[in-house]
Amino acid sequence: MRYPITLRVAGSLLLAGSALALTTSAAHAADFYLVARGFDATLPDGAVVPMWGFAECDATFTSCGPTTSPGPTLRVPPGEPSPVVLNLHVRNELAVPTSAYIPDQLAALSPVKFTDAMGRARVRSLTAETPAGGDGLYTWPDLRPGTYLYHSGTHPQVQVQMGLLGVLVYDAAPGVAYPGVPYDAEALLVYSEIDPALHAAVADGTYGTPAYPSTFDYKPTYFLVNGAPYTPGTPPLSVGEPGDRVLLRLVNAALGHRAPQLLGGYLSLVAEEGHPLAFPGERYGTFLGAGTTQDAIFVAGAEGVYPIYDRMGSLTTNNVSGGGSYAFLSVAHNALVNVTPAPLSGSPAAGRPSAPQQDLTPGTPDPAGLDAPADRGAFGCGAAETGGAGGLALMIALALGALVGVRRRGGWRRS
Amino acid sequence: MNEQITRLPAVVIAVVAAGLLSVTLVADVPAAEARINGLSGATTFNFTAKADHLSTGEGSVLLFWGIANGNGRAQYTAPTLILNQGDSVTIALTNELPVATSLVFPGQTHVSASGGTAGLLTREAAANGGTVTYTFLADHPGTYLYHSGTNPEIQVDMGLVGAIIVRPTGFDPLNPTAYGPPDTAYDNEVLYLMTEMDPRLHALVESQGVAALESTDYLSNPEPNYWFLNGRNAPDTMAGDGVAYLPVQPYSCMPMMHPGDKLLMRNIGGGKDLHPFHTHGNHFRLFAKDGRLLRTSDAAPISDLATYEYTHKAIPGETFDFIFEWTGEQLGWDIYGTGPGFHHTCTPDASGFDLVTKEYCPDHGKPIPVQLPPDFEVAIGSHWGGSPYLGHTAQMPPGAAGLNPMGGFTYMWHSHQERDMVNNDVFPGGMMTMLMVVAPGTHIH
Repeated sequence: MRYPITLRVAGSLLLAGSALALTTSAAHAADFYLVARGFDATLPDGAVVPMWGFAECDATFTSCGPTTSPGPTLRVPPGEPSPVVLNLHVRNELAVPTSAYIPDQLAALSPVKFTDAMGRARVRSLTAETPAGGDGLYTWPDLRPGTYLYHSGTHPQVQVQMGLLGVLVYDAAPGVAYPGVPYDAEALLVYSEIDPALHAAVADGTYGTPAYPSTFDYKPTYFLVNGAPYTPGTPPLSVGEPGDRVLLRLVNAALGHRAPQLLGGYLSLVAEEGHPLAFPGERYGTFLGAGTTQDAIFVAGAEGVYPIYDRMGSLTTNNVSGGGSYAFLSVAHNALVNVTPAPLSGSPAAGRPSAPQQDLTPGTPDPAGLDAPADRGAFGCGAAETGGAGGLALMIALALGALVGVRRRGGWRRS
Repeated sequence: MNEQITRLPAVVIAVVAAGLLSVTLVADVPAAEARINGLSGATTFNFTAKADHLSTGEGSVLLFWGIANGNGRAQYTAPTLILNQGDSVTIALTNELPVATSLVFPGQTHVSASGGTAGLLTREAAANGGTVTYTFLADHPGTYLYHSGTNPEIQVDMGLVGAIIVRPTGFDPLNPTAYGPPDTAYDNEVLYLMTEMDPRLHALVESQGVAALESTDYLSNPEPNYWFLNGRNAPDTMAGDGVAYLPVQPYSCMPMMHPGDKLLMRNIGGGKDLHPFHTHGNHFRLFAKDGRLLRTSDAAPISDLATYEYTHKAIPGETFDFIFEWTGEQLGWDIYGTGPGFHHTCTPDASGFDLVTKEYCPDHGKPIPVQLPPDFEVAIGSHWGGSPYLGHTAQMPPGAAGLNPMGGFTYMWHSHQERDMVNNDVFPGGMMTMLMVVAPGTHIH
């Protein structure tokens, strides 16, 4: 079944109705509605970790997709004249203030400061906060094409690690990532990590106390690609046919660096952090620093499964080898391009007590909204199992936006 | 430049050093004196993976897993393969380790594996005697690496990593190039394979086996405390190739050059950690990464995107090639000395350098701008030869280390992540060596 990418435009703008009025008449706007919620993630070894994530909703927040980390991939439709406006409508169902931030996309920021115990004004949020239980709107007035990380801008040293992260994709033109960089198929590889001790400390309110003072001692033991550690038997990402220009969108949301290394071929590095390179660099591996994105073109000469794995060694799951940051790219004639499973299979956190939240800056009170109850959303394993109430447009929006996966130019081949 | 030198008859520069020593330098300057040590002239290799113990720079020992050429002792780092472009290479691996193992060849695009059993990244040789065979076509020149493809987060740290050098088509040992284009020409070459080891991991594997790692966080939060160049910690990096007291660590890592030489450095990030490689003495011209020239297109005749750096972040799994040059240009004083006993001439070429000595003629005859302190006012370092002038030595007090009998200029080259310059917390050591610039005509080995 083929869904033209333009359906995403229709879906987005349909749902965007009222928000369009907020923008200037000349500008095209893409509106996304994200709810920030807690959920419980079940990891391959059975560990259950309290996470924060985003779910994509309709414009009234009455029907939402699964809450995931990474959150929904926000695909802004290409082909509209500049400027294109991005509006992120955030509903905050966490017990603490949060916000949305996209490094290297221009926006008017309103940093939030607080006064610490020593009387110093300190920043706790890179931009305006959405209070617990409240709604916020974040606007980028003139999007630049590229692959970007979006994440919480509030206490990011904690909230990003808790899972408030995702990817923004905005192509220069349909099937063209950057001017002069066309592609036939794409694969998204989002790296993240989990230190369960941090998540437990945030959940039970001991973060910022001597029990877990700060992320200074952050020690992740789960290393995720597209929201899940590799587990044996996971099917490879199908990325097209020999000779296809496969665009790898590499995104590192972790606090640690990654060095994805490809076996059996070379990558042509075409962009870093949304900025196209004047001359692509040819290499079999790359350095993907914490918080950065890169785009690379991979052209496989022959059918096969091509491993791409972290050469810095994040190849364990809870300290057991054979997990972590492995991914595999399948190149085959007449390939059916897969959609990968939704990130972080999890279970609803219903019934889990809403733990009191402490200030996320050690030793300093944060009076904003700490007592609001956390409404942990329902959580499913894939778009097909959820979002039914939203109708076809929402289904398509979720299929294209919520899933981290592989897309072929012109639309999905199979879902 | 080098071609011109080699066509000259032997030139004798006679200088008389101050004091008792008289040094005669014979400049016959053969091209490309220094070559990387490794296995060359073969395309079929029978390797055995096995365990052994290596010596660390401060005198300790670590269990390691290495590769033996044939069935001798394992070595760290694994044998350096020196191949020719177009070689069809076969590596038959026998595994005597207690765990399955394998080899992967990043940057090689025609790799096939046969025998053994399927693993995550490639086919593997089973523990305790399993075999597997790999073939690949070395169709591009350059600097590469190979390493374990089985739980590399363990096995690379344990020692299963080595270098591959592919000589370009038409390689001429008397006028060598790294990749073929003229801007990759060099006089001397040195390998600089950077790795590290977490001693906790090695101790646990030795005492309790690999499975015990699962009850630690050694893999998710490694704490390396040994850093290696070509399988040795400083100061052993500066010992010669194959010295008897390092029987499983055969590879030296001490660059030497004459003024004006082009020194090719083949650097490899072989471990799991970043190592900002830093040169003293000059910057360098970085012209290739991962076995590919830095250039605007494959049609570019030279590496026209080459850059100059003095510190390069070596990325795990990455290789990079650069050329380092040193002449003493614009030091502001005469590197061969002034005054009685230091007579020499300087005949500038179009660039201002003497053709033979590579002296920068505008500085010829300028005295060193300091008053040299007497011996009893200084602490004498082991690389001090007694004279500040290139090619000169002088009598030193009894007991001075005297590691610089050729009167060279010494520059430390090291990881600028300075933590990497210890051996299990003991400074100095680790990922550090010295560049020795020696006078024209001094033999480099």
